[in-house]
Amino acid sequence: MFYGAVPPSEPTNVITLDLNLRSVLTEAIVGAALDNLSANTSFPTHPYFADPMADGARNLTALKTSRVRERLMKLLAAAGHTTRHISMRDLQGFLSYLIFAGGSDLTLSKQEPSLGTRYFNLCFTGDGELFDAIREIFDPVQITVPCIDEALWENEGITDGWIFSRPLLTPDHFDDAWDLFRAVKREYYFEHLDGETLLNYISKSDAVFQQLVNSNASPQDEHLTEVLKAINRFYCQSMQDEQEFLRLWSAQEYDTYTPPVLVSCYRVERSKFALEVPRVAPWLEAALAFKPGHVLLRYKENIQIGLEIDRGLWRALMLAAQGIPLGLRSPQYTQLLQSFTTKLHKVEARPKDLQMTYVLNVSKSRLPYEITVDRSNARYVGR
Amino acid sequence: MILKEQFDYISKNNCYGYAPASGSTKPAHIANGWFRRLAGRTFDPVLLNETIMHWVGATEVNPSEALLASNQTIFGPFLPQGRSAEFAEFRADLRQLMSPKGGAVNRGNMRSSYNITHLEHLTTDFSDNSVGAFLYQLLKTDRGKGESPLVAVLLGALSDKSDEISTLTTPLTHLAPEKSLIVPTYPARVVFKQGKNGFTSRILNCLRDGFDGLATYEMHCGGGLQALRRSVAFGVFSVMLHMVNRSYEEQREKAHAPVLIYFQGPRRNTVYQASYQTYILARHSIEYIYTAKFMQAVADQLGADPTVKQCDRLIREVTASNTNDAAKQQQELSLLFRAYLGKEGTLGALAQALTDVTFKLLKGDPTDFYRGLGVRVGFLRPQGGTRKFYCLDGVMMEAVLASIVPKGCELSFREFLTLLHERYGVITGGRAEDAELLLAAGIDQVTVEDLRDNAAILRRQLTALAWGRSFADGVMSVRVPGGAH
Repeated sequence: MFYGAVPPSEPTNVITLDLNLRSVLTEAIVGAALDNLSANTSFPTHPYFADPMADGARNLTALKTSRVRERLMKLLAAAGHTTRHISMRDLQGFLSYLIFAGGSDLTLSKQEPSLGTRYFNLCFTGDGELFDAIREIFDPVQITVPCIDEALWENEGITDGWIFSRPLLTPDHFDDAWDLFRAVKREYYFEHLDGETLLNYISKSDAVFQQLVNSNASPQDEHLTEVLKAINRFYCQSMQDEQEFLRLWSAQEYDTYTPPVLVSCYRVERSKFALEVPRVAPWLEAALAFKPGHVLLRYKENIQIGLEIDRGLWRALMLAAQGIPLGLRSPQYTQLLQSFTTKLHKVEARPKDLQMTYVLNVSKSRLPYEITVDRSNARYVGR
Repeated sequence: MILKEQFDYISKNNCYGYAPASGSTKPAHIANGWFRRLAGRTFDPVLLNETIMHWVGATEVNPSEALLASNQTIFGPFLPQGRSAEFAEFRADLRQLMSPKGGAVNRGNMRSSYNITHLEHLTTDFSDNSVGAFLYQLLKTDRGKGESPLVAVLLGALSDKSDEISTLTTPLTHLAPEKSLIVPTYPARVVFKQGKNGFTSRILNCLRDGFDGLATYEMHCGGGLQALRRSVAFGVFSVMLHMVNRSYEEQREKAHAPVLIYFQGPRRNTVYQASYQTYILARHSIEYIYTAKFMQAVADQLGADPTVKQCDRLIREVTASNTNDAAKQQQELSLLFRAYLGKEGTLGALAQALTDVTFKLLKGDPTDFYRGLGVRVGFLRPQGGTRKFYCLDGVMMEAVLASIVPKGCELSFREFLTLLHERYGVITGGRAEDAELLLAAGIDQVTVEDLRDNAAILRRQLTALAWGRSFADGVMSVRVPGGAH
């Protein structure tokens, strides 16, 4: 894996690969795994698949259709950008669960048809890293689109465009309305012609983050602005020209309480940063499917200083920008940012005799004010 | 016998070297007491104190007009008419910036501890109850290779005035009178007793190794104000571990006291309950050491098997500065002594009664001190009523990690957990033997599944903090973050 424009040179000897860098949630790997699973010759002879209306058989049939496969791959691709480590074993287990619902040879034959054992529900209900990653990023039932929801809830409209047939569910009329609606909405995502549009409604921060890590072209201009703004807003919601520099805020607390007042004397110019997406060397691309899970905000003048922004940190920054109080922010990410700014402080803090200082009281919704300190004469000189 | 004197003697000369007799001691107090001893000097930043202490209750103790009039050169920008509101706002902000939450800054620097960023903020405040002396001794003791390298790191950070807070307070501390400070011999010699391999106390050796490890981290990857913060967090962590393990060592226990960390997940599970139980064990250990010392004191006077009459006589000898207080204490002692007699022998019953009555006399007893510090530093978290659990996150987590993960080394997750337990007695549930360790401590209502989930949350936290790296085979390594990208 490398950052920047110059890939590492191709080695001539044996190399050791960190397979953790390999993403198994690529179209090629998921497709091949699905093909292998559905091509299993023992399936047609198993009683579970003998009845075409049994859940197992219906799941298998659906997973063989190009639309369901494509939607599943898109969902897994989105889940691949979470920071969770997904192994091949997780993927195999996931696909198997979509067909067999975790049942054993003995229990499968006796299994009664149920919405709970259909692949579109199983996809969001299993246990494991991959299931968690999917739930973290997207569940059709959490996406509200009034015209679609109304039509599915009342069983009116959206009659065309389904791969098989429109589900015969009218949630509105039943006690278990929510369960039925959940199922039909999920089925809509996988099996309806327009189901894919639901993916466009995933949270804005996730969408921007996916753009960020997928930007093959130099992300400097557009996204660096976004990142600097986000970090600046983590501390202060309103600073002028916040996309042009990174301001270093500081406070000192020896207990766990969130500091109510921050002070800043230094800022780092935007030109000193580069935003880089990790990539695999070109000579490895064919062998190692790779999906970046983070972008690196690099301080150009010292390669030891950089901030890896993954989805978790990005979401924390976005929440902060929306004004979530300091006390409710994740201590891990606050600490991570603090470590980064401390490193920057070490190289960028150049005290001046006349030091302009900003004071920000985060507990009061007002702008930071400035006061200048004359270090050599030990006095305040302006505001 | 004067109970308070006896308590002070046990605490300062026998058990710890400091008196854990207040529930309101804050990490900032300890930082002040520790750093001033390391620096060998104190300051009296009067102007800083006066600027911060604008109001006490409804009384304006340092009116802005008077402050501006007597310091016109310093507060120049606030002098023009119409700027008084801005000056008041500046003073209030400065107070929030420099004064620890809950109030550790009072009128005058004798009883004020600030959120220290520079030497000039060090005062003579004694609210650390001599805990600073304990940490000073832990770092300064020569185990064969001189003092801990953390001393130089801390003094370097404290001498640097380039940080924002020191910059902002420079005009207020610049002329602060300085006094040199001589650190006296440590009162409880037995605490830092040395043998062939450093301290005879196992926990102190581990903590000192931890401080040395932290110093290496700070020199290469940390430094600045964060170094001060991490050191104080680790210092408070050390005091808390020492308090409990001192008792274990008195009982000749070979293992460290178990501390089960609970990492909060989406739902509260049995690890939460078990963590609370390890907290209760820690409190009992602290109480135990005082009971044992009182027992020793009584045995010295009355012999190993005193009669009830002899005990009653000793109770009547308990005195206090006030006659009424003495009578009240004697009455309480007598009642408690008789209550405990049914369960224990005369010596044990009297010692237990003396401990209970003494703890009641204090503003905060040692278990309150332990709890208060733990909550403030983030090592203990209150959760509904009196229940607490041990937690590890933020600065404290980073300090503990920095103290045990050597720079340039990659530890497997298991090795890391083993080190965490061997050094500090900290358990997270990530190893098969963790359940057995808890069982051995009498904690049997925790499920292996919940312990595993707990460790899984720790794994995620390590990854989020960039200290953990996951490999394709599910193995995780723990290493110091950073390095060339």
